[in-house]
Amino acid sequence: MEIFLQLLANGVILGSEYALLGISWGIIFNVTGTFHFAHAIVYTLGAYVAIFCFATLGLPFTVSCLVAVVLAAVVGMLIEILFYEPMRRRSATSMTILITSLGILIVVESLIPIFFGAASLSMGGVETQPISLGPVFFTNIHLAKVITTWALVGGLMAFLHFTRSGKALRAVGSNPQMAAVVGLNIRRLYLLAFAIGSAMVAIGGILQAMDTGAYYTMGTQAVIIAAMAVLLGGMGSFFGSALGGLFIGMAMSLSIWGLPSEWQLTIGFGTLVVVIALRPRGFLGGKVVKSEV
Amino acid sequence: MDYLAQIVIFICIYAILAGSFNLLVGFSGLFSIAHGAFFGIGAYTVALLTAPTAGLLPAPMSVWLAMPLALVVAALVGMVIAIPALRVHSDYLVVLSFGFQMVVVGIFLNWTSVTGGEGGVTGVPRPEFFTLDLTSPVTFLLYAAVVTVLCFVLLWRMTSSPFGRMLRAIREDEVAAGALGKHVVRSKVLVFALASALAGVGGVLFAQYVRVVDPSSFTINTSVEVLAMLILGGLGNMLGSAVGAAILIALPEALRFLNVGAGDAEQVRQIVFGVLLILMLRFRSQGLLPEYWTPAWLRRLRNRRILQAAEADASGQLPEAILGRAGGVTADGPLMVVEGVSKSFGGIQALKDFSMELPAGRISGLIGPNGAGKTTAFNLITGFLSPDSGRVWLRGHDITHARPHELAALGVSRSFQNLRLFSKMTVLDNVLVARPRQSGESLWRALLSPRATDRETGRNQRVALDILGFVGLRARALELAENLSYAEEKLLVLARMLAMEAELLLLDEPASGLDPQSVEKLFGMIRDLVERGKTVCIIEHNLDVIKDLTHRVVYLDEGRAFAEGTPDRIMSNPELAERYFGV
Repeated sequence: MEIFLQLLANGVILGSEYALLGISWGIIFNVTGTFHFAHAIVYTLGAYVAIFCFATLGLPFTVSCLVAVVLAAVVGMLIEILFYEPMRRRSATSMTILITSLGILIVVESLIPIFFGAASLSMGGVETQPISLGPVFFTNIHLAKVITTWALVGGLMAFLHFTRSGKALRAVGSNPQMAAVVGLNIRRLYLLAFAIGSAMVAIGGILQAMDTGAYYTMGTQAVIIAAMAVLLGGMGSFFGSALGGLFIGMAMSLSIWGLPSEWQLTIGFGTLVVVIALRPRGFLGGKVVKSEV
Repeated sequence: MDYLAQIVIFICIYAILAGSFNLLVGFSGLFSIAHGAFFGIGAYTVALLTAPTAGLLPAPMSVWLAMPLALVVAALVGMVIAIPALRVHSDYLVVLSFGFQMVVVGIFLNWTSVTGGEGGVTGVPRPEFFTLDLTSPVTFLLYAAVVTVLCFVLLWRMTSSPFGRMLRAIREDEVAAGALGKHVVRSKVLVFALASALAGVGGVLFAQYVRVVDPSSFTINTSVEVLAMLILGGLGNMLGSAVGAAILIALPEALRFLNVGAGDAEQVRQIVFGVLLILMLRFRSQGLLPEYWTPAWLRRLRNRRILQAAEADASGQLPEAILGRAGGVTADGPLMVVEGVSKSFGGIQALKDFSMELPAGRISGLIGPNGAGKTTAFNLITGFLSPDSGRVWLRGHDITHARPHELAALGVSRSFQNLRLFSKMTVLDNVLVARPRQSGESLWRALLSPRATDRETGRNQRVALDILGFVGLRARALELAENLSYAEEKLLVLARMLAMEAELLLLDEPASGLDPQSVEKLFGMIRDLVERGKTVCIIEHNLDVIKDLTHRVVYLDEGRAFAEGTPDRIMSNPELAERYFGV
């Protein structure tokens, strides 16, 4: 029983990490329809820049994080401006845009070890303190992860539902043609989605760097978990992406009860395959994505 | 010499990977990132079954038995991923294959008791041919080259047969392919399994040559490398895949000679591949060798053959073959009966208790204001939607819940408002792919009886050219469909429907956007067809057209058949005139 409670707590912590990944990729995918796998490098960059500013340049912690988040948002928007947007304008297929995204991912991921070395980096400076709640143990950083994630998810949902720009983002996601007809500026809204998603994933990257350190390939696994979370939560549903991430994290954590921890990713993937086979639209997806007649 | 042989062996292995990936991505339009994983599954299977050190089996299995087993394992695993993903949409395959790629490498790394973890499996034996063993790279090269040639013959045969044409049609527009009677999902799953099996062949060669199988060779980076070869060579061109593989294997070797980036060789390699991908897609997305690229002399030869055949029997008449079941004789009574069909989307009732009859050998018109439910009615009777209640009968058979490809087989054809031509295929291929009951669309027939398939294709080609002659597009037969004018595109839509030998032609606004002359020409053809026994139903807004062309009219409004009768009677009805025109 105590083990179960501990695994449950671990599941919430891991699930929160994945929820942030899921919703940050989901806002870009749901609004622009882009398979933005280069999101991985924005995540890694967020972590590396924060570490560089804090540990190497010696800037204050908050300033370092701020620099990393702003830079990540800029990089995300630049990828959209320099690569995706020109391709969309030449009516490239979603497949060629996705391959370009993979190309960016591979190039930048290979550049990082050349500049920063291939060793894992740690944030340092922030002291890890254990917290115990009855039989359950976690750290202050874990707590920060959970609180930050759900505060960001809540903030984003409020933004999407109660502000003009947020409503416009949702409208563009569900029907870009109609949104253009009623006079929404699609290009600006796409950029907004990339900025928000990139800033959010950078925060995820920083939290991860504080928790376990940063490694140059950390983004690839993160982005695939994010994409799996979006599929599981249901394409088109913003909150669903966060829920999908939480579910994957819980499933992975609880699986440790019976299986060695190396099998976590396999379990997460297996969960997705089963859910897709039984309920293709995912948890909160409105309708199955099929070719329209 | 050995060094050179080794490079060529790697070119062979990667050419197989690129060719099979091309079958998937280039020809079928299915995007997967898991090719490296299937490469690994083939390699690990053969290694675990044959290496004496593996310890999976009590005694190592015969190499000749293990090799086909490796392919079967790769194909079966491929199907497990493809079936849930492709039942829904190709987008799901992108994410599932990405996840699968990560998971497979994780399994290779972590299932230490079987796979040997990071160290992998060592001592993979090479096959022996009687007394000839393949210990030197040069002798192994012979073996690898034979396997590669066999794989490419198979791939070339697959993609140039009616099966390959069907795959390209599905890639271009799977809705239209379904309406032409193709089994879209089944074909996609089959092709995914095949591509996985062929990646497994590459894996077998790799394991036997390198003799050590470890996880680092089968990561997502491998998938991206193969992708780069594919994009460089040209999507949809098999020769291009081999060329792309040759260039991208030779290039890093050349860089090594020039001593570029010696310290970070692996990183530099990845950067070269990634930059190449981005640049190719930006500046030459069709690759070095575009899809329909063939050497000029071969193209001239083939085109002359096709055009001569067309010349030989240029009757300008509609070929008898396409009259199909009706055989030029008009049957009596209704061909299709729609009985009290209802359909709602969410809260909106698109059709309410809608009924109509389509008499055989007649032209019926479906008119009504925008949003009345006309296209919904078409989607219901062609199987793209299933009604909530009511029945649809075709020649007395209940077809209420039949799927589009089943209805196509029963002789129902339809056009789409947005045409849905296969734009990156030739005009001739657009018509050819619509021919019904092609035995060459079964992969096994296409591979096992190539002669019979070729003869059948020859016959179909003549029919297709005759149909193109009938609609006046024969001179454009070898043009890509995307290069046609709008009027020509609409004629091609009709040609494609005719090629199906369908009895019932459902035309959704065939005249919209056409100049009066083209409309006259099109309607002349429709009248001609009905005289020869076809049944036509047409959605149209232009009342002059309706009056001129149709025998009877169904007036649809607010999802209900409001009135039914001769065009004159419907149009002189003052109530309907008021509803339609608001006068």
